[in-house]
Amino acid sequence: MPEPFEDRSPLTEATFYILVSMAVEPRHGYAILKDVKEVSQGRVVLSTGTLYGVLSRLLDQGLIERVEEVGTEETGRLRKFYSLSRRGRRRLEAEMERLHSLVAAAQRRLAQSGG
Amino acid sequence: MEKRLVGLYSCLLAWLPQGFREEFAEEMMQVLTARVREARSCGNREVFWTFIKELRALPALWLLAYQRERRLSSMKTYSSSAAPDDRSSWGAVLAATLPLVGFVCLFAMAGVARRLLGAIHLDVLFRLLWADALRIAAMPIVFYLLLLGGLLAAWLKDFPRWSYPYLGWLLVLLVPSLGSFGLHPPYLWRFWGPLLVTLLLAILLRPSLKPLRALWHGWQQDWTLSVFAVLGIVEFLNLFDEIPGPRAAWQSVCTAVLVVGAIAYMRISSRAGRVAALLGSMVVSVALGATVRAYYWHGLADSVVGWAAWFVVLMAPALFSAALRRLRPSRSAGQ
Repeated sequence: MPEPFEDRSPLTEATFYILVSMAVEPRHGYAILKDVKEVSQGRVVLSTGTLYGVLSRLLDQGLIERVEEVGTEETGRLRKFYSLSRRGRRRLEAEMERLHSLVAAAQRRLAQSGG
Repeated sequence: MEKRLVGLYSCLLAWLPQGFREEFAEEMMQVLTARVREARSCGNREVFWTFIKELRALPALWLLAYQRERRLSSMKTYSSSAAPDDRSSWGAVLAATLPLVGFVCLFAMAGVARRLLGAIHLDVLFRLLWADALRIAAMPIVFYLLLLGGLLAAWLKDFPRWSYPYLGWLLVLLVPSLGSFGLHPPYLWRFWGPLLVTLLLAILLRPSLKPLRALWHGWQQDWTLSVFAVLGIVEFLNLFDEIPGPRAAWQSVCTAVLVVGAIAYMRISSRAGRVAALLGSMVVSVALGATVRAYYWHGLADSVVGWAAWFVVLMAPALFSAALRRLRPSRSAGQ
């Protein structure tokens, strides 16, 4: 596949949390759903369709990679895990920076108006 | 209830495009089953609402999945057709030069047959596609079948580079058959009938719009293909139709020059080299033909203005494609 387009647009909340969820370790679909709910403190509850829509897009953009492992559940079926790629980590860090600068700008303005 | 809901979800996933389904549907079913199992602990109402939330997300997923499938399919088309700077195989070179060589061989054969068996007019057997108004010595059906065979193979293989001279030659036969060259209506069906049958067969063998898309992308991506298609037209325009005697020999020489150009076009990697090969062979071939005609007619039969006009007409698709490409540069693959 050709080198994916370097997208610099802001991430959606769902995409951001999904990337955050994979930042620590590779996770499978259901684990991502649960982790996103936990990290967002129950504010973001993804449906299966939304999750796989985002995952397919992130795979195409090269922000995440697929790692296959044999499932430990009773089914014993092959379970696919997803991990953050180096490019994805860079993208996540860039987004965090962007959010930090937004918050910092808002804080400065609020401090001015409060003072 | 859970099993029925999961079964219904599985049916709905069947509407996703094949590629997406093969990649994600099984995982999605695993996740949905786990979610429903989790919701079960809170009662049937929770299972129901979880399922409703899952359904709500499906239309957006369908839309996204179909867009993705189309994007991946177009990227596949680009990579499967020869990239502009790829070198073609010798098999492809042979296929590309076949209509050029085939025409001159059949042209010579018809002449030999007439000379040997003049009284019998054996070439009448070949003359199903005879075009009186064009004064072509013989336009044997064998040649037309070769072109149609090439068209069929090109359709099945997404119009690779070698297929363009076939398209050029088909234009030579089909455009006059529309009547613009004064061809009699009874000849129309002889051209269009077999063509329609071939197209029908192609669609039956491969019922897809992908070949047409590949043709369109090929033309958009590489304007030199339009020039390559013109080789067949130049061969036709160079016909020594009214010059008796050595016409087949001269026709062979002019065609040989075009064939060399075609081989060079298929085998040279650089675009500049290819364009030089095509234009060079066309110019030499036309100059040779004009010289023979000038010798026969005791003066230049073809006016320079006439040839210049033909040149503009023939190069128009290539120029248009190049201009289109310059105005609208190819987008990044990920967009």
